[in-house]
Amino acid sequence: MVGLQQIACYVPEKKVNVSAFLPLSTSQTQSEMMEEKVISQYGLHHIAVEEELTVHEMIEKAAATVLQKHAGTEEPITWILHTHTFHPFTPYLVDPISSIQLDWGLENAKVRCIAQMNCASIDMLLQFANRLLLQEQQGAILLLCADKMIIPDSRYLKDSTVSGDAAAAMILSSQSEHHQLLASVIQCDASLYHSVQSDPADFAWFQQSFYMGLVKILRRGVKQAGIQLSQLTFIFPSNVNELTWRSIASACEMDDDVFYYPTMREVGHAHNADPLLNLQHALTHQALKKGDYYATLTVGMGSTFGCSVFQY
Amino acid sequence: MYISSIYSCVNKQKTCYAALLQKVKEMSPPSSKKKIIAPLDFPLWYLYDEYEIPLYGDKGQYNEESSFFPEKLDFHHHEFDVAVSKQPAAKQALHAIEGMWNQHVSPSSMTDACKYLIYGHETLEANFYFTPAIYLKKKLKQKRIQPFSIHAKGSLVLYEAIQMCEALFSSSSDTSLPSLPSQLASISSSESCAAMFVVSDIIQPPMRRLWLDHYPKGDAATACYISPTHGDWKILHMFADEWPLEHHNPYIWSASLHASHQQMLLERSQQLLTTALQQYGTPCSYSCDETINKAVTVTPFTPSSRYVIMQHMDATFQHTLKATVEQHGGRVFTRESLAECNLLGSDTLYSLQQLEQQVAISVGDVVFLVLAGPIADVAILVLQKQ
Repeated sequence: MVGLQQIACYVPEKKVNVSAFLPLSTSQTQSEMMEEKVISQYGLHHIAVEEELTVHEMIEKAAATVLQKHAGTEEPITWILHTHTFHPFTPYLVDPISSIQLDWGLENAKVRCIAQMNCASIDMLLQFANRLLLQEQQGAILLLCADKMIIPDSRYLKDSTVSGDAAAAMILSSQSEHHQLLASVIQCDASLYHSVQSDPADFAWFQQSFYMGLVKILRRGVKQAGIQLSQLTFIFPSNVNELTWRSIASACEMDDDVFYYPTMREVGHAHNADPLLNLQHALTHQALKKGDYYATLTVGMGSTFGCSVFQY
Repeated sequence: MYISSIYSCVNKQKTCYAALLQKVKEMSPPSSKKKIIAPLDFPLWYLYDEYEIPLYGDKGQYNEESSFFPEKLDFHHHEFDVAVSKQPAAKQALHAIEGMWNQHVSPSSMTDACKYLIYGHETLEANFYFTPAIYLKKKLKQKRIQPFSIHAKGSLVLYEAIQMCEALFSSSSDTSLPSLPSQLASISSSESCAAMFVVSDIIQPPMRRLWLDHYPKGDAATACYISPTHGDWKILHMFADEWPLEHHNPYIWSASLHASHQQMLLERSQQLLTTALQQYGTPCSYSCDETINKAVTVTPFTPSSRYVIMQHMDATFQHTLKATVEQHGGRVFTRESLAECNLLGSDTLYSLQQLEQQVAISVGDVVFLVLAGPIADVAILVLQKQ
């Protein structure tokens, strides 16, 4: 059965207080109000900042951990799919995956970057990887994601969140005995294509309407998985902000505690790595029991949405 | 699988290497990041600086022997055509798709069947916050279509897209994976699926239009439909050879490493082309089932003509592969328009369009598209006219 075989994340050691990334205001009062909002309402405290590695080196770190664990199996990795949120990713002609291929004997794996679903791209990767494994009925796929905010003053996302740096890797296998993938759904409403630089009316509409998109994609995901919302032990969401997930929990008549995102406080919004950071945290702290159902729930500028449902 | 309704957007202009070099120098970025007042307007500069890639005018980092500019070449003032776009890649892509639609009396009959909008690219999106695939979905007002981008293997984007469509359109109903019945049920039948594909590339500084002795890279966008059931060209088979670079950053390679990669690309392209021609290029009888890369069954017919279209990468590549084609009794079609310009992901499709306009192509004729480079990887699509 198709499922997650391995998962690993790379988070930089340096953590910076979130207030360092908030835009300057005309008055100290306004600055303090914004800081208060970001900390108490959004739940953000520190942001992970990578100062030494390039983005592809961050991916190599995460990949090395999963590939080390996978090395003992005889299951070949036939594809390497990777994604990112922001452009540009690596310079033109630079091959971000070549070292991984050469270091781990993956020269024959097919490498593809599938993107532009913004922070819901990881669920798109899961869906496409699932289709590939269904078609080939053998082998495993290495999935990678990473973003590094190299542009000054780009971490604060207006009225939403603050971006951190991180990378995540996972191996999806057709022979997995754990973390069975039951469903993976994605949706793009194309409400805006220029993020915070969009027309203000479009951006305002996105801010109002993305809640509905999240509720819909979550319901679609569990329906396709053949379970009820109430059966989900945890939802591992994008580390956007606490306000969003409390609202979604309320709209779905679920307990706040079902939404599991402890890494948001110390990493920030690390884009496509978020649900995997939170899943890894749950596994490390033995929060999941065998048989538990869980889901990823992602939202990206656009409006893009993703939900993948697993059974542990 | 099938492709159809190919439409390219290119903007030709006459130039020479000297003029291109001059223009490149004029577009040099600020000499230091501190002079960039609006960082979000120059994300590419920050990225290139992050990777310590020398920007124009700064020769401090790379080996003098591996010049990225063909200053030592004799044809410095040789005039040629190059494609240079005046608009961003996404707008260029939009025009290509609209041009593709305009070829049909009722474009909605094709587009309504499309489940995916695939945005292929080799070059970088220069705008930090902009998402071309979502832009296209919104501008085209395609509410039901799922957009995504695909890239990774240079100019092989068309091959990558078709390969991904093969998986996405698969109607595999193998129930030996009991965990998947709900997912299998949701995979649409091949009867109702298709994709709009567009590849769009713009060379914008600090990306380099000139590289070693390659033809200059040109800006272009090409759109087509990909379908599992019908189209102008049936894909009989796809061959591919992909490999990682020996070091991830070619901007700091030695001259010998550049040479060895060029030689590897040439040799592996020759080998793959030989394989493709031996299997499909000789007068033989063949047909193919609907699935790419699966076994070929044989029925008696002979294609009337076989043409080979190659990536316009550089003169050596074209001459060497031409010799391989002629050894196997095939014919090479070399376009006259933008002959010394590499249109990257659009290159072979643009040539295919030129072939159809200039040569009387009959049903059953076979064309080999050789997609390659710019540094590694080669794919060959064997197409048959429907």
